[in-house]
Amino acid sequence: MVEKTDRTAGSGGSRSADGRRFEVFLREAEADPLRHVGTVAAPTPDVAHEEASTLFGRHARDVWVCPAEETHRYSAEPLAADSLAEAER
Amino acid sequence: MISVSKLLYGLDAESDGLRYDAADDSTKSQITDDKQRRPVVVWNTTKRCNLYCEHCYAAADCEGAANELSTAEGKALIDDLADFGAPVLLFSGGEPLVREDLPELVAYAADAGIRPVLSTNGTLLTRENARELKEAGLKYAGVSVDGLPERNDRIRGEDGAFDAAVRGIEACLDVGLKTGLRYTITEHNVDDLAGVVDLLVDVGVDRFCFYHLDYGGRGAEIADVDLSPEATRRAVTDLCDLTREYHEAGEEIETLLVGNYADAGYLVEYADREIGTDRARLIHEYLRRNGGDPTGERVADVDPVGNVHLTQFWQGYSPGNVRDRSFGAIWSDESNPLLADLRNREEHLTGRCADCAYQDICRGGSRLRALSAHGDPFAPDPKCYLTEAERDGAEALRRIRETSTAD
Repeated sequence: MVEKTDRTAGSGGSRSADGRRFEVFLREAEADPLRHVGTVAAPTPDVAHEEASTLFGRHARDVWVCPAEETHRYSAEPLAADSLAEAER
Repeated sequence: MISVSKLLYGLDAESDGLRYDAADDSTKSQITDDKQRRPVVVWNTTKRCNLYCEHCYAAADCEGAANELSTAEGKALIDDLADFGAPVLLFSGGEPLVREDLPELVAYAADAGIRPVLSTNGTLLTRENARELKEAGLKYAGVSVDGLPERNDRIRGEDGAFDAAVRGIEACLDVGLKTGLRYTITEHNVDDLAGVVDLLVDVGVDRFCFYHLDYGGRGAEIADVDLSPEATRRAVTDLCDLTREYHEAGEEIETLLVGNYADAGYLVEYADREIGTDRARLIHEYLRRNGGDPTGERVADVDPVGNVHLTQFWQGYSPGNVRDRSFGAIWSDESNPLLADLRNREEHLTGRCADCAYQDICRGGSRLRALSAHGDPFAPDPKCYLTEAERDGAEALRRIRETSTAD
């Protein structure tokens, strides 16, 4: 049986100091997997797509964007994991 | 960051090792590789600020951002940075002095072996907190002043901000904390530049750092009052002349330029014209080691909620967040095509940057301004002010190469 990685839920909350942000995913060729390349600040998905296209246009066949605040993150080593666990207790 | 005083006159400074591998006669440890390998990291510790400056790249405001990094997360970030080998951590904001845990975080960075420095508007500095920060291990406080009193207060949105900043500078000097000026040049304040230097030299300041406007945050909203390339060239010439005048009068001040690597090529040209080709050749060599515009390489930024940015000015894009993944893992991940292209930008620069004779010491200048002006991060920086002959290598570079061959 494969050993399961112990992951911790992120603290949630805003991921932006400057308005809405969108997580950006690219696919270079049709057979490629989507690749996460970070976030852009943008007020709407369409603007986020434009921003991502400006930065990654030469590398992207498909661009997916997802509101950063709608993403639930479960990470093996979130920042200050000890204090996160403490806060949950 | 380009030290005009170091390049023109060899004035030594503690931080030069990070820029030129050549802080002559310094007892401080110097970097011995050709290039700085790890980034200086700017941490915007909060979005909250007691002022409202027209050019603020962080778009700081009277309220902090929701979900800013806590003290525990800040310490974990510092551990990450120390593990990765970041040499310097610049505590910035917003106004970092509004964070009550600032001395604790400064001490933590110093204990972790990272050089802690501060960027502040200076208005909240007192002798007491300056002493506390110095005892915590703070090495330097850069205080922002953007003009003589009237202009500064208008730009920074608060009557009395100039006087308060000068009191803050005096508090640092009183307790022996190294301090210096930070000044962002626009049409609104270019005429005050020499006056501010003269005034602050009298106060006891000997380090002056001048920023070209970059088009991030509120800086993007005032791009229309940025200096034209011609006016930028005049301002840089004036700063070089001012540095010379102080040097020739026997009063050494450290002068630096930030945010426009056309300055690198121009300093070579200026030195060739005003001092001599031998000095110009030496400057060219220093700047070649310096490596040009540092975006995505020798400078990094972490914003108040943990997003990593490719420079402090370019807050619109982040390759990752330190809450999910260590800083080192984000910064080293060249599967990110933008990061990889920026680090290999010689192959991607377009227009006049593509075949510029100074490309090796400039590397295209600001990628954020290129993006803002042309919608392409590899287009030319609109603030390049070199002449066509200079970019073609027909001026100083021709003489440098001719005399090198003759040698």
